[in-house]
Amino acid sequence: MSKISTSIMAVGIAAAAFTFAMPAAQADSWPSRPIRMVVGFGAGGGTDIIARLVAQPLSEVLGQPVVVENKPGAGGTIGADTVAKAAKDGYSIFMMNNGHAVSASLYKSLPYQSAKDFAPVSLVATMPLIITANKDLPVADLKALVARAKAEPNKLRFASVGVGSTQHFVGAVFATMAGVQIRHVPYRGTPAAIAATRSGEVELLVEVASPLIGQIKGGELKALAVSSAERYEVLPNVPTVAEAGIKGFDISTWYGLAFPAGTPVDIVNKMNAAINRAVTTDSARKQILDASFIPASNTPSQFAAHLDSEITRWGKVMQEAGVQQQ
Amino acid sequence: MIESLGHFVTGLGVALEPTNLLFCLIGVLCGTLIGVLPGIGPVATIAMLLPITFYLTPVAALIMLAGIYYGSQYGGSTTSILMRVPGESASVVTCLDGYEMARKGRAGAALAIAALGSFFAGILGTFLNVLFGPEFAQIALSFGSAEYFGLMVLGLSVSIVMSHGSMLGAVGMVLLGVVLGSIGRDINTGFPRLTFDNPVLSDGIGFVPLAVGLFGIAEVMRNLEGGSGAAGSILKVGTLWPSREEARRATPAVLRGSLLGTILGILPGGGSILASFTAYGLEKRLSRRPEEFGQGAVEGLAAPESANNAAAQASFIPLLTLGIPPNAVLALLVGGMMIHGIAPGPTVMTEQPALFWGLIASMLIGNILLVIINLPLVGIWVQFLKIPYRFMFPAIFLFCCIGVYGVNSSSFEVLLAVGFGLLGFAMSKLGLEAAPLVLGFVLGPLIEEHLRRALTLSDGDLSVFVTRPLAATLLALAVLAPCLVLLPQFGKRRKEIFQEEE
Repeated sequence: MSKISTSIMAVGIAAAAFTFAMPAAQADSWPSRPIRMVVGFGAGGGTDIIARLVAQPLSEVLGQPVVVENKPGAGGTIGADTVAKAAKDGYSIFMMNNGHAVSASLYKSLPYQSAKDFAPVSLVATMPLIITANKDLPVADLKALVARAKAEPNKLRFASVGVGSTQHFVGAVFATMAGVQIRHVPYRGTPAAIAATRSGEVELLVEVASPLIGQIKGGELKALAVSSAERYEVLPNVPTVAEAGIKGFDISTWYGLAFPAGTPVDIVNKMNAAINRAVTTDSARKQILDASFIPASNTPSQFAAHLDSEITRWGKVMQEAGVQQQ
Repeated sequence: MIESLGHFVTGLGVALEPTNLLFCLIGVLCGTLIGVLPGIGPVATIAMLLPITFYLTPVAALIMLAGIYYGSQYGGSTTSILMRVPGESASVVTCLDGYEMARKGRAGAALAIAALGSFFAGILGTFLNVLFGPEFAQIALSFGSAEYFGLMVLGLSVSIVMSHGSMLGAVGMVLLGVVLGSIGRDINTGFPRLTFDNPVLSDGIGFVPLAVGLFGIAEVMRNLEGGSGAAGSILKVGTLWPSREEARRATPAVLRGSLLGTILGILPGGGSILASFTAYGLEKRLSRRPEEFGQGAVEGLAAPESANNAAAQASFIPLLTLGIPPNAVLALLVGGMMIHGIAPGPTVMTEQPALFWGLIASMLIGNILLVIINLPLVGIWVQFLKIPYRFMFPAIFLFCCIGVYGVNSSSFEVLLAVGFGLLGFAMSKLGLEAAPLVLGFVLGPLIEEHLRRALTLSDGDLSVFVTRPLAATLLALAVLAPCLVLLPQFGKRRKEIFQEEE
């Protein structure tokens, strides 16, 4: 209990004042039982790992277990639907990721509304993507790659983990903004895509950073650029796409937590405070960094704005890349 | 090689440190238990334990997580043999002859052979890891899409040889499996196929509901139909240990299964399932008594059981030497390494020798612990057979349902499993086998994926399947295997077998 009270105090008076104005019967006792954190993907993927890394310190801060529940299927939309339709009592929370914003435009119909049915709580982490090449491909940097791709259009091929994945779109956005034509080859899963790029079956690979770090440090894959606006602290020598002359290129995958829409505002605020405290403890921060995520946190309204802008952005990307709805 | 052995001895020192030994024991114990429970596989278990490992040293953490994985390969055979419920995906083949042995009162022998075969495969796999790890790893990289296509086609053609009923029936079942496997989102275009606009089908049908339904639930129905079966126990207990004759027949099968498993286990994607199926097919091909397969042939149990454990052992090679995990469980171990700040990649072996060799050596110790744990358990497991079937069948049915639900927390999949149970029952009435269906289900989508990717990469040029020597060899073998069956001599023998069964 003492942990909870301190955590509330730590947020500041604003939240407290807000809490007082509410009919606080429900919120006062929250959380009085375990909370489930729904992950729309199977155990062991990036989203599942960050969920588990956050759930543990969050349990300690809240004084109630936060249990990760995997609801995999249909690109994460089955898990999202579970939370969208769950009781609005603060005991079901969704580990949202970038794919949630992509699926908003990728699917013809979804059983929920990607923005309106959720009450965003806080961002928890981000991770850039990296454009890498087979180590023997004779290009030293992204500029040289663009030059080569322009010299022989439709020759170079890039691997990704699948059609409609963030990785696929980052490759497509890069090609559009750089004005080059490269072919997309989808693989089933990251390991297969890495193996194909290492063996030279394809020349390029666009993938999130974590599974690539060992390959890059071991000299087996050549890192050409990171997708975020700023350099990635794990690989400080790799320049950004924007540095290579493609101005304004800034894409990262992100992970954040959201309740179903209609969850009492004071529970949202309490949870936001708890998350902010949980991900900033030294041990949690170190774990998240070691797993090569970049820890992040913000306010419910900032996260809501972020979600809206991401949904708009991916909708536009899909239109420009000419991806048909599924 | 000598150098490797030196490192291995150092690794043994690391693995024998009391803490590491303790976590090895915890790991293999957990692995045995989750292997026995259907549905709760190593993936879910390792994912749940991942955050806890943060409090351990990296070596202890990885030793424990690895133990869960190969330990589950031991446990997986138990329910396959006793109840015809595949505990995890690699043990589907174990159901075929393992369960038949149990029906003939050889349950104890079957369990003991499974444990000893797994043990031998584990030890052999570990030593092959030590001696040839980096060389083997290169095989994984030399396999492109065209080679995978050849391998999968070979696997499928071996499966037709494997069946003991009519060839036409087997081909039909393979095709049905392929159709079921193609349900869901197409990987090349992202478009849904055969989903009838239903989101629960958009990722396709799961392997666990299919296998548990076709084997476990269908078997319950078959037993209940018997009438007399419902009164007492279906299975006899019999003596616990393999006879000399059984041991003699199992030994070469274990050896071949282990070698095959080690090679296939290195390849990313479907290694251990393919290993157990091909090991079974190979034994049947080589056996002088192919008619006994499916009726409780010792080789038909020993070879696939060894193959799947050897494959589990071998799958660590590409992870540790290339940083490429060949299956979902090992992808989780990557997560485990990342949490400890170790980026899996080609440099792990040189930069973290204590971790690399400690982990490899722990597999030797883990396999010894597993056989010590599992052999006495045989006596306990067979006691279950004394429970009257009227009490057992609701328990088995419940066990199946919980197992299926546990995979994705999906009640739809439980219904699916029951549906496949009905299908399996109908198939047995028609004399059709479930094994070719399962193989078609697993391999069909892989064949399509690799064929289409190979053609995307070659820009539509079909010659890649002939000009790449490895791919061409595999495809040639795939054509050859059914031809051998169609040769007059073999054809005659197949007919005799078929008539014998009538």
